[in-house]
Amino acid sequence: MTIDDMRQTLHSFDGSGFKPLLDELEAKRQRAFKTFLGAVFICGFIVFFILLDQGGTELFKIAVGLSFVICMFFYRRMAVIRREAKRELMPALCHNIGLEYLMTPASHVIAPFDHLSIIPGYDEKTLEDQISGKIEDVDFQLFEAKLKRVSRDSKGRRSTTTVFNGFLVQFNFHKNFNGQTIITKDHTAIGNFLTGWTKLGERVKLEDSVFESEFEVYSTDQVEARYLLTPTFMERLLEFSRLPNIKQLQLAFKDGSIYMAIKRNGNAFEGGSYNLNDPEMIKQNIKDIAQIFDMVTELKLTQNTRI
Amino acid sequence: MVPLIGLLAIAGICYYFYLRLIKQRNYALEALSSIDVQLKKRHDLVPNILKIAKKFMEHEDAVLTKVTQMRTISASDYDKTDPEEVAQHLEASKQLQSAMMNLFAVAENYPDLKSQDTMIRAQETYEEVEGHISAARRFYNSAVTELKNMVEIFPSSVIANMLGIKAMPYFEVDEAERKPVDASDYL
Repeated sequence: MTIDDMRQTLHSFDGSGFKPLLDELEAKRQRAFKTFLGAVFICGFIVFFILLDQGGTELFKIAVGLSFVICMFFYRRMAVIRREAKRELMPALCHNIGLEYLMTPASHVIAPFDHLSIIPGYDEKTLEDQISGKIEDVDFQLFEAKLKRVSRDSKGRRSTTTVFNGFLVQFNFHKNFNGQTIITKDHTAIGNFLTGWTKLGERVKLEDSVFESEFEVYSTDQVEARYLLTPTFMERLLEFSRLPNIKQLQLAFKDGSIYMAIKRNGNAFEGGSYNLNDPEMIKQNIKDIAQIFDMVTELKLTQNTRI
Repeated sequence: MVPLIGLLAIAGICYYFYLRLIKQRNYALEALSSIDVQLKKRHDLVPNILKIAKKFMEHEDAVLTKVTQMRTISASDYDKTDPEEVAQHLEASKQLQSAMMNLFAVAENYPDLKSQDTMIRAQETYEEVEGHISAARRFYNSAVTELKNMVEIFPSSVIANMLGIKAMPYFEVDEAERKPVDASDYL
């Protein structure tokens, strides 16, 4: 199946077979939502009553805490139903075009990215929505990652900061690279000086001034870096990095593969609609999956030379 | 005391430029070596291509001989520290590339040769090697620009002059080579 065939098959996906299931799940979700609202109302009433009757006492604090836990319990039930819809829909969409889908990827899939300096250091990770397979002759694996850094203040209070939210993708080039080439965002002269020493290899100065102003390249092999980053490929990377849904692009070439860390807004493969039986939900998931094809076509990874 | 500090400062600055110049010259030499590594790959590949081509292109002696001659010239030894010899060496490699392009252009007229699996593979490998040569050329030219700036811009130009460090020649692609080859020119 060519990439165009895959794209066409994906966009012409007939979701009517899922309608009864999605209707049923939507009905369940609505019941769960009503239960959640009821729980919020009852808990709120009780907390308000305690506040009026006893003021800000220990009992009030316990009631607030307990109410929060109860409300969260009912809220999570809605999330579970949403996940159930996703669990049914996403594999079908992916299998339809010969790809594999895994809702919760193994935690080790992020390991190759950990030492490439294309994702920031993190303490906690949430990985989901792994899609893998072959587009023409290019093997790939994509998953969504949310990486957080944990810090504590002087009083030991814990706080988390999201340092990365987006896709981590690996495309196999079927070519062996001797060295390692990393392309990161340009952090201006001072920033590059401060972060440069953490990168493996030497800085590669390239001829394309626009590319140079947006990216910093480090490589353990100066010739290979230029072999991979031909003027045409640099242009393609620039164009790809300017797609509207991409906040930041960093990539690396290592062991015959290209690794990409794509920062983006929001959560992918969740459907755009609140209602589970809204046809827009399937359409949004299709759009999200089609982004893989955009990567392949924008960077022309299916071409024989790929560079 | 003040003159001594001044002298030390001048000596420090001179040493800094001396270090940078030597480093830059070595960097350019390293880049030149990387070109030679890639040129060697082309050099080794050419006999195989000629061997396959000879079977089908019996009447193209001029084209084949030109390739053989250029291969021999481009493989001759040269002094890497002498800009003139470097320029001659790079020019010879360009001539070999040009001769190879002619060979492939003329080969277009021999369908049997074009469809030979071994020829297709050899041509693919050749293109891969040319890609690496092009990358090495970009690395070399980038290193040469840095060295050229140091050799020509004051105050490092004074130290370069004292040490006899000269700028190295660029490895440029001729305009003619950028254009697609017209096979009819060689028929």
